[in-house]
Amino acid sequence: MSDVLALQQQRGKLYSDYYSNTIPERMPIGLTLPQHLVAEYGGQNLFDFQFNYAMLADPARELCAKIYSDSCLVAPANFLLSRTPSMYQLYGSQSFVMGNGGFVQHPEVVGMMDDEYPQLIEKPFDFLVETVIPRQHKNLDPQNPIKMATAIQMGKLALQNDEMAFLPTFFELIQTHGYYPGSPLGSFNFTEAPLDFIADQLRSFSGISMDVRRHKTQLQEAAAAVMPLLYHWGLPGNIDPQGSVFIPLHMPTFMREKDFVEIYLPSYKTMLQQFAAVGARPNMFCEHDWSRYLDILLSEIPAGCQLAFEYGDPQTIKDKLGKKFLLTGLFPSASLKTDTPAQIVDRAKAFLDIMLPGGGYLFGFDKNPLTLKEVNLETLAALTEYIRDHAAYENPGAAFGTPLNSEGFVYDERLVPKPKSQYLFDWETFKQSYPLTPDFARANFERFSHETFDFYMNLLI
Amino acid sequence: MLDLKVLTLALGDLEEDQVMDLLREFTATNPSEGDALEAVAACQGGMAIVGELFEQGEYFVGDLIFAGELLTEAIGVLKPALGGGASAVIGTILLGTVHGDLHDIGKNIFRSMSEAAGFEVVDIGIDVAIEEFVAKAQEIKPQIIGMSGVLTLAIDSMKETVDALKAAGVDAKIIIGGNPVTKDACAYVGADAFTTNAAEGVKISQDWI
Repeated sequence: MSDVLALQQQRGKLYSDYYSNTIPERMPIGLTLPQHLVAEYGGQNLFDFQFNYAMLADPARELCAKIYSDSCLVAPANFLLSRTPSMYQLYGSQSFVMGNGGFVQHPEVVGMMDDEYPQLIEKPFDFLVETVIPRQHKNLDPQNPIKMATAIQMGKLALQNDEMAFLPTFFELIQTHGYYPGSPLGSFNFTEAPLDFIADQLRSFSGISMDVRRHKTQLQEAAAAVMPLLYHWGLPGNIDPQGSVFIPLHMPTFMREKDFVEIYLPSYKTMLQQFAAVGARPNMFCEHDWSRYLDILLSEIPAGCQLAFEYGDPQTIKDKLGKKFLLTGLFPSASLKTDTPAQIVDRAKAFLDIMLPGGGYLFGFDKNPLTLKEVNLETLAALTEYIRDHAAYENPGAAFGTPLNSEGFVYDERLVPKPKSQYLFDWETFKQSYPLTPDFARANFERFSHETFDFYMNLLI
Repeated sequence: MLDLKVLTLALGDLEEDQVMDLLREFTATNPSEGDALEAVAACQGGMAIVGELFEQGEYFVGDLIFAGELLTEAIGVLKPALGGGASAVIGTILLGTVHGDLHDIGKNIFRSMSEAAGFEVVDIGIDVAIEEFVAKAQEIKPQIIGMSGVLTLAIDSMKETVDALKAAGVDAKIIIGGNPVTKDACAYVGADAFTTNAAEGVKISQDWI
């Protein structure tokens, strides 16, 4: 076996152990650098690469040679993390707009009025497609069907083009460096908590803040109505312990705990339990400072979920939540700019003294830096090398924490019914029109329908 | 007869129905302009309570947004009774989100709380070019300039804007606000103050006047 392949297997075991609640040889250190930073490192401007991600190839190779990581430092483009501008621009999106600094951002936009809750509650998917999407993506207006069809076709091709552009380099880097290739294909997905989904592109941050007080009951009903859509949107096709369902949590730190418990939590908790029931691990990013929510997380969130924190006291979070959940995040990315290599080693040592013992923590920053100005690369290199060399465990092979679905939740389709809509495929109806269609075709048609469902939902995160 | 203390407390408690009932009953009595101005002041007092409860961790950002909306609604009901009169303006703030950044929620909260505290706020929006900040500052001569941003890159945009303002001889006090601002960032930018808390930002601004 080649050295590189052996290295890749070693790294794979670090991750597979971690995700099976077994203490690995050492804590893995897998970083993903922001694509803007990679472009800057290559001396490029902040715009061009977003229309040809293959431009990241050379600087990505140089950075991978310079900075240690167990997984590839540069990921291929995807619409969620890269916010690929071509697609959004072709859709005429007002939700994702490029600022004059070259960063696509999400301004405060409204896709649903406060008197439209009944429509959302009655037929959630129909309402999203008919009303919300055309408001947020101006070229997807059913009043102009040819323009809409053209925009969708072009947008899909643009996204596919963007996603493919860096892929050959990504695979090349995995092979040449022996990187952990990531969780198995199809085991990663993403969704939103119901209230965040309603806030994000339907009611807006300001709108939802009003509705929490003015339309509390409707908001609770709407969260329950959209939850099954969000569940099936987020469910990975190939569930694996190393895979996850990424769920960025946005609104709770802006709310009172009372409102969180009464409005946010009920539907979200059911969703999490149903993910756990089928072995799909929720991986939630607890945005901002969740210190006042730690007790609620401990009592309400299913065991074995992965929680990424931005702010908060590492010791407190570890002590309180470390036995029930997989933890990540918290290491201050601002130190990449302010620390010398020696200083960050001291900082990392102090941090690992807290987070390493007993296992269960995966290294992660509080948030990703955006640009090269925010990172001293020598400091970053010193940090990852320190972790590589000093994050070994004393008791590899021992069990830690609490596995996913230790509670024994059972999948119940009545709690998360599959989405139904006049716009989604229904085999029985189809078969009546085309009785000669063989039954094996059903799976394909249903897959196409699910991918179409995902396409529309993806426009709303 | 409107009990101003009850109005202030109702607004501080964010009891929308109570606030609006009180004000509708009040305006139905055809109050004088002076009485209406007292009602406005009572509402502003309620906003001060909201700011205090926010600082004490009883309220959160969502509550501030609701409070801003409630105040706007309350003033809307009082407007006919106010005639041409208006509360005294204690100072002018030029406000905007710096270039490269499209976020405006924090800026809008600061605006509504500053207006509630008696400032006139000239809000020039998001992704504001350096030249626009400078030109507007020269035109309206504000006592205070507020710059907002959420992205970490906003810090550099703030610095560039502050440098240009100083080079143009604008001598207003400058406060920066938003998720990425820190003491170090404030020193780097060359601003006079920083905050991640709109209520605190209003207090700092009041102290400057």
